[in-house]
Amino acid sequence: MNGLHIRRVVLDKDASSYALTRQILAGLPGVPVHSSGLDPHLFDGEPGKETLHLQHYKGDFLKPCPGTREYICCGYQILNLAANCPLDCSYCILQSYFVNQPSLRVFVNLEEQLPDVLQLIDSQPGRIFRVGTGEFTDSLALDPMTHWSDMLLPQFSRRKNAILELKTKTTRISRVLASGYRDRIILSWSLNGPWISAKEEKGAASIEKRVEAARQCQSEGFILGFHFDPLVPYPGWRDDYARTVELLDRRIDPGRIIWISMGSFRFMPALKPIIRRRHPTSSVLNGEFIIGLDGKMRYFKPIRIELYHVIRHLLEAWHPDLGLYLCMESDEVWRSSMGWSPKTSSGLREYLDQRVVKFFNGTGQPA
Amino acid sequence: MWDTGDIMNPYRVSEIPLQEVALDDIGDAPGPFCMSFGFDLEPLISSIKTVGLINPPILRSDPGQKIAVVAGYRRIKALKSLNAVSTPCRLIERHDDMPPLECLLLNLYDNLSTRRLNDVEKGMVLSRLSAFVPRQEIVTQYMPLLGLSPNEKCLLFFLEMETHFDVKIKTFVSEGRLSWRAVKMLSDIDAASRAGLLRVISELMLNINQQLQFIDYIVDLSFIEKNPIPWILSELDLDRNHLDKNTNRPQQAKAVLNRIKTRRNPSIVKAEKKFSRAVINLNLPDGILISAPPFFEGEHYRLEILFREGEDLKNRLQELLRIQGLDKLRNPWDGTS
Repeated sequence: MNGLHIRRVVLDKDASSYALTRQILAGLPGVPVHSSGLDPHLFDGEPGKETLHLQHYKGDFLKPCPGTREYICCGYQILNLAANCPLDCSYCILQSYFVNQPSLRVFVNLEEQLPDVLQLIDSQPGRIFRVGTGEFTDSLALDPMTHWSDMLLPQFSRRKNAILELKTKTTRISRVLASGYRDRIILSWSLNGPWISAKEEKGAASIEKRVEAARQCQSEGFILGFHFDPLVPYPGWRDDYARTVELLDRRIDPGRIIWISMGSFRFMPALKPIIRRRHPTSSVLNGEFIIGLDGKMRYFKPIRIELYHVIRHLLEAWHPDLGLYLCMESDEVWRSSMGWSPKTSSGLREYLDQRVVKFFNGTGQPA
Repeated sequence: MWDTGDIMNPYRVSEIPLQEVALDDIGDAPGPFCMSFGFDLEPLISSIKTVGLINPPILRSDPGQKIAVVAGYRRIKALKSLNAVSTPCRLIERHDDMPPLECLLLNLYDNLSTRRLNDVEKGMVLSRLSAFVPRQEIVTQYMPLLGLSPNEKCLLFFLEMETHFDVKIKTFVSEGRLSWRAVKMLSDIDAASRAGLLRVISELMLNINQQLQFIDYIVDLSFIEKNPIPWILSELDLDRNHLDKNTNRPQQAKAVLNRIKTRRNPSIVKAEKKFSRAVINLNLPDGILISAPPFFEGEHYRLEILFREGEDLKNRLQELLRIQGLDKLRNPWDGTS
């Protein structure tokens, strides 16, 4: 269904009464539904991403991005709709986060909990909430099944102190395009060099298709964002990333891009054996890594600086005001690669909040 | 009151009468029931020399084969090394008297009650059990008994250790000089590669951290260069005989790791060397040290000054200020340093 390959559904007892559960199950006719009270090892050995687990999520739906104090963080807020992703990118950190729970988990009590999230946002009118759903899953990959966008776009579109960023590697844009809501909604695509994308981003749309989807959304009035993350150096990376920027140049109006982030590949050490086992032909571990100040493996500093510096110049040659920023980097790397630094996480938050004000101007309409 | 009827094993070994058996008739190998490896025989030899054999071994004879040791393998070895001709023992003569699995379990529980088995011995136990017991039962019942995680991957690793590792490597493992993290990393790769890595680890006597680094680098190089691990190892020519004879083993280990690190992380090693040269060229006075943050990731370099009192510190700081080129010290990737 809609490019998803759900072969079975596992339903938690306390998840069965929700409207989202009924809607999802109605869209999966003929797919067997199992109670979660069954043997937990019942589906061991089965591809996790073919199992959809419908759950009542008991935690907070809105959480700050788990940045670390050692590096400058953008202060994003994560709206936690699901865990895991139907795509199978070799470098994905979710492989180690959810190593014991490889199924796709959808939190069906979103509708019940959303008012609390919105109340929290409304209770702080002086603060801008930059909210995204793409941290623990792809924002649009499951949308044809979950219809999250139907629920979220109207709510965020009418708020003056929030934006909702839907970040994806897919072209599943039909529902967002069909909605009438454009204000304070940002559609973002994760981008990479075409070679890395083809080799390491299994199940994701090609870079060309992503950019084409972005073009369609922009032409339909959406503000766009892009995320070059994870950047991976490999022989020929400069030319490859240049090809992606050329593609953007041909299809996208740079004046209606709110921001473009860059982040280099980084991972907890526990992910390495998982990548080796699940993706034996992957090249993402080939670079020169060091242990970062946050305990994550990341490229040796001059390699990161060069990556950012080269891509920054490619992008700035295209347009001088793209809202470029780095994800989880140090002040030194910012200065060396970008020529300036927000110095602190609050400095970066302020910079990105100003981009929100500039693009939406507090009116709900792009400035 | 404890009743011998509570004993699960119905075979009354202790009721078998003692008899004298020629040591030449007893096999030298541990055989199918024993699990001794990497032990020091001297204390036992000394004990037998002083007070004689206290506990007679339990043996088993099968037609057409040398007599096998069921319990007391070390005692037989000690007696042989003392050039004894025969030993008193309890001899199980008919197969029906005690099936092989019972013999094995007798030895296992006898050992577990008196000592901790080393990892090679655990491999021997699991390997011997696998001839008689279903794999799942070994995993769930016997691996925890041996203090091992009850998982099949771990079992396979131990079985392979028993059948494929040579004595030198087994000795290294039995002495606890191979970390469990290293064992875990090794269990993810094929047998030939594992044997090659273990050979280098044991020859160079790498310490725990060096083992992990070594395995990690070599596995990475194999992926990056798309060549099998044995090929990488042979290409690196890590044979100890080909290393600098004028250095000791720890120095050789360090040199080998540096060589591999240079191949795996050329930019990092280049930066480290460049920075180190730059610091050496400053000719810092004794007691003043400049060092880089780990992997150059932090933003600040470190200056350490040894001084006796404030006046001395003042002098040392002035000395530092007079050093030519101090102001040119910078990140090793930023132009000249």
